[in-house]
Amino acid sequence: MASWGELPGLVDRLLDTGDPYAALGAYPFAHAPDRQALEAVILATPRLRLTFAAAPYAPADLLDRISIDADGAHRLRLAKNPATPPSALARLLTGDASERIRRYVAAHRHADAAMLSALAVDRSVQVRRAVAGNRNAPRGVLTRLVAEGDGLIDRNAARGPFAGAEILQTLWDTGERHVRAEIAAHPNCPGAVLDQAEAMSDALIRRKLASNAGLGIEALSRLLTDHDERVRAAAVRNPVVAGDYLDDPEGEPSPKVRRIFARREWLAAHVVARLAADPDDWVRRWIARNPAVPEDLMARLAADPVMEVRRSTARNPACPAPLLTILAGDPAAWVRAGVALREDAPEGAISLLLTDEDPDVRAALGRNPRTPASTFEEIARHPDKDVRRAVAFNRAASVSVVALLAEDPYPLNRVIVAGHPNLGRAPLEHLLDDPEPQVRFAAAAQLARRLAPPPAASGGLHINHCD
Amino acid sequence: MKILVAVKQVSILDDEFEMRDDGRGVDADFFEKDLNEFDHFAVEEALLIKEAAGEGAEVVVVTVGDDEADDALRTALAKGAERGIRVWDDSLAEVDSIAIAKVLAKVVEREAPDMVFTGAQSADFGHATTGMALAGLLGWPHAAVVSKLDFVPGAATATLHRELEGGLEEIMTIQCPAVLSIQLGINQPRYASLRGIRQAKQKPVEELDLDALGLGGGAVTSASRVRRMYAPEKGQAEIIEGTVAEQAARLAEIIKELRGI
Amino acid sequence: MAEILVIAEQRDGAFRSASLEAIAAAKSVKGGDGKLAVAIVAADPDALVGDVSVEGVDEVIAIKAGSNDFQPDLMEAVVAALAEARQPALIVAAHGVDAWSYAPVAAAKLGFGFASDVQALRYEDGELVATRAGYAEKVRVDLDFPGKEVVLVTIRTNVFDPAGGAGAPTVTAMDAPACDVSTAHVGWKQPEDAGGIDIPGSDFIVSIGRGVGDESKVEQFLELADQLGATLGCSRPIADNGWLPKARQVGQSGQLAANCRLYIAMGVSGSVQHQWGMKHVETIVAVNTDPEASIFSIARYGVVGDMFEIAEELENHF
Repeated sequence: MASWGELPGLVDRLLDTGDPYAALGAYPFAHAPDRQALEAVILATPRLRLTFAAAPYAPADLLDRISIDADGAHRLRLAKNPATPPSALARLLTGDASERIRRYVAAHRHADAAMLSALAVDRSVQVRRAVAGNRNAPRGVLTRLVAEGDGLIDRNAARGPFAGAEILQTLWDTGERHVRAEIAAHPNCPGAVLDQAEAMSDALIRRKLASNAGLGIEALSRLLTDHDERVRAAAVRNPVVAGDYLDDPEGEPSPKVRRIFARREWLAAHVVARLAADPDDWVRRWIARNPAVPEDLMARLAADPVMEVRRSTARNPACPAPLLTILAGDPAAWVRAGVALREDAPEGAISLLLTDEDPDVRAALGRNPRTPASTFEEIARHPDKDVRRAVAFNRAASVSVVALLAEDPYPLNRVIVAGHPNLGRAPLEHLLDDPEPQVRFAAAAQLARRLAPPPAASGGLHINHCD
Repeated sequence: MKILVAVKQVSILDDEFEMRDDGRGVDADFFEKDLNEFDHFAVEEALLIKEAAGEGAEVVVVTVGDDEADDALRTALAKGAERGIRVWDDSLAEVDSIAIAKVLAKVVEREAPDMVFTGAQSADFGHATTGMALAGLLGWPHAAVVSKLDFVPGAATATLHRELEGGLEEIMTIQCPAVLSIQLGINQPRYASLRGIRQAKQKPVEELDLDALGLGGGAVTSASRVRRMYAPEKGQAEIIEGTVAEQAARLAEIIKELRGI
Repeated sequence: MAEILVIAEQRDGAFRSASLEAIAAAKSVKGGDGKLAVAIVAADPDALVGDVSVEGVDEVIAIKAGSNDFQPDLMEAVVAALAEARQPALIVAAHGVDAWSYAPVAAAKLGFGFASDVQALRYEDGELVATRAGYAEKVRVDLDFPGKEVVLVTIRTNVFDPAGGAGAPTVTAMDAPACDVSTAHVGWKQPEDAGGIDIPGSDFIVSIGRGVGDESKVEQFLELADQLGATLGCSRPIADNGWLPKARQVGQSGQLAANCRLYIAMGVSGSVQHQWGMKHVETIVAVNTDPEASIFSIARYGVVGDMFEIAEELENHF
C-alpha cells in the first residue's frame, strides 16, 4: 500500500472506508485507474447514482461516466445538471430521448452547435424555443428558426449573440413591439433600424435603444433629453455616454435619473459636487461610493445624517485614512463594520474597532487580514456561528485558529475551514471522519489537492451547493 | 423532571422522482431522510428547560420508525437528550398520524413525563396532527403552534404564546402536564458538538415493538388510508415567459396584486 | 339523511372568513338532498349568524359560550356533542391554527376518520375521498376512510373560493356543553412593527444571492427593494462577505422569514440552508439564469433570466 503522505495512499484509505462523499472529493485529483476504483464507491447504490447525477458539484468526468449506462431517471437528472459536459449531453440525445430531456439539453449551457442544429428541427416547439434561447445557438440555426414565425422563438432569437443584421432586420419588419425592443438593444442591430427605433413613439423601444452600447453618441445625446425619464435613465447608463456628455444632472428633474448619474465613473468635478449635495438620499448614497469624490466632499458625506450615506463613504476605495478613523467611531454599527472590512484601514481605526461588540463589526474584523492574531482567536470562539465563520475565510488566520474552527459545531463552518490553506494535516484528516457528508467531501478534496502533483491540481472544484 | 419529545425522521423527496408500482407511494430511491426541522426547536426547548432545572432533569426523545430513524434520535441525543426510545413494527409502515399518536400514547403512559413536546408539523406531510391527537388520546391539556413558553418544572401551569395567522400571538396559561406542539423560531436550536456526536453513540436507545406496549394484534388503527398518490399535473412554478420587459411587467403585476397596490 | 357539519370560527368575537372556504368545501360534496349545518361558538353567536348565512347553508347552530376565548377543550366538547346529536357523515373546519389545536384531538378521541390540510373533497363509488399534498407539496395524496361513519377534515385556506350569496338557513340556538377547560386566555400580542431591518417581521422580502457578484451591485438591490416597499434579504455568501448585515441573511445560518407572504428570490440558487428560512412562504417568485436552480422547485412563479436585467426593468414599474 502506498504511503499515506501520497495521493495513492489517500485513495486507498478512501476505498477502505467506502465513503462515497469523501471519494467524490478526491475524484478529480486521482489518476485514471484510481478513478475507476473510486467510481465503484461513489456510485455504489442506486440512491447515490441518482444523487450525484443531479449534483452541480459532481465532476464532469463522473457525470460523463454516469451517462454511459444511465436509465431514464439518471438521464433526466443529467440533462438538468448544469455541470454535465457536452460528451454526456450528446449521449443523452442518442436513442429515444424524451421531450423533456431534449428540451433540457436544448437549453443547456454546454450544448454545442452540432446538438443545437439537430434540435432546431425537433418536432416539439418547446425544444425549438429552447434552442432559440440558447446563447450558443449559431446564426444558421437562428435563421432557420425565425422563419417559423413563433413569438417566443422570435423573442429569444432577437437576443441571441449570434443573431446577425439580416435576421434582426427580418424580425424588425415582422415582429411585434417586444421583439422590436430586443432588436433595438442588440449590438448587431442594423443602422437603418436604429434610426427607425429612435423615431418610434413607443417609449419601450426608445428605452431599449438607449441601452444599446453600439449606438452612436449623437443619437444618445438626443435620447439624453428624451421626455420620458426611463429613456433618459437608460441613456445615462450607457457606457458610450462619457466625458462632457455625462453632465447636466442639475437640470434633471427625476431623482431616478440623477441616481444613475451618481453611479457613473469619470464624472466631472462640478457634477460630483452637485450630486453630493442632492436632496435625494439615494443620489448621495451612490455618489458616496464613487471614487471620483474629492477629499473635502468625502468628509461632508462622511458626516451625512443618513447612516447609509456614511456607510457608502466607508466603503469608497478613495476614502482617505483620517476619515476612516473618524468613521470607525461612527454611532452606527453598519458604518463601523464597513471600516472593519477594509484591508487598507489605518492602524488607529482597527484598534478602535477591536473592542467593538457588534456582530457585523466582529465578523468584518474576522475577515480582515490586518486584524491582530489574538483577536482572531476571540472571534473563532464567538457564540454566534456566523461570526466565527468569518475567520475561516481569512487567509491570515493561523494554524491554531483554523484548527479551532475544524471543531466547530456548525457543519458549514467545518466545510469552509476544510478548504483553508493553514488547516493542519492532522485536523484535516480528522475531518475525513466527520458526521457530515459535506465536510468529508470538502476535506477529501482539500487533502487530494494538496497531495496531487501540481498540473492535476489546477482543476476548478468548487463547493457551490451551500449558499 | 422529565420532558418527552416525540420526533420524526422526515423524507425529503428529490425534485425528480418516480412513483411505486402500486401507485400508493414514491419509489424509496428518491428520498433523503432527516430529522424534521420543527423537531429541532422542540428538542431545543426541552433542553433549555432541562438545563435551567439542573440536577436530575431528563430529556427523552421518542420516535416511531424503522432502523433508519435511529439517525433522528442520535441527532437529538448528540445535542444533549439523555436517552432515546424507538418503536417499530413492520405493520406500522403505512399508518397515519393518528395511529402514530396511539403508539406514542402508550410510551407517554410508560414514561409519565412532566411535559410532552412535538414539532408543530412535519416538513414532509405537514399533517400537524400527531401531537394534538396524542393529547386527545391521553386526555391531557394541549396547545398547538407554541411560539413562546414559560414553564418552570413542578409548576401547576405554564404560560405560552400560540402563533396565529398574520403574526398575531395569543398568550394563554395551560395546566400541566401538557402536550405542546412547538413552532419554528421559538428558540435558536443548537448544533451538536463533535464531542456530543461521539457521546451520543454511547447513549441508550431502547427499541420497543408493539407487543411491549400492549398494542399487539392490530390495536393500532389509522383514521385514513392512502388510496393513491400521484405527481400533480404540472410543476408548481408558473414560468413567466417573454422578453425581460414582459417578464418584469408581469412580475410587477403580481407584486401589485399581492400587495394591493 | 346524511348531514354535513361545518365548524365555523371566530377570534375575539370577529368572524374568521376562512370558515366560508370550509363551507364552500362542504358544499362541493353536498348532494341534492343533503343537509348542510354550520355551527358557530361565541359569547354572542347571534351576532355571527349573518356571516355564515350564505347560499347552500340549511341551518346555523348558534352555540352560546361563556366567552369568545378559544378553548380547545370546549371546541372538542362541541364537536362531540354535535356528532352525537346530529350523526353527520362529514365534519369540516378551516385548517387554521385554532383547528390545529382541536380537530386532531376530537378525531382521535372520538375515533373519526381524519384528514388535515385538505385541498379537494369528492365521493368515488359512494366513498369519501380527500386530496391533500405530501412530500413538501411534491405529490398529491388521495385518502379514504374505510369503516369510518364520521369523517373530520380541515380545509387548506386559499383553495376554495369563499361561499357567498344570500341563504335563508334556520337558526338553532343552543348552549355550549359543560366541560372542564385546561387553558385560560391571558391576552394578545400584536406583531411588532420593528423599525430597521426586520426579516422575521417583514411580509414582503426581495432577496439576493451570490449571483449579485460585487458590493456596489448590492446597493442597486437595496434601492430596488426600497422602491418596491420590500425588505432586502440575502443568502449566506453576501452576508459572509460583509456586503450586507447579518440581520438581512435568510436561512438556517441567519433569519427565518416568519411572517413573509411574498418572497422574490433573485440570483438565489436555493440551497437547503437558504430554503430553511423561506420555503414556507405562500408566494415565492424565483429569478435565476439557471432554469434548473433548485429554487424553482419551491417557487410559485419562475422567471428564467438575469437578475440585473429584471431588476432594471422592474424599477420602471414603481
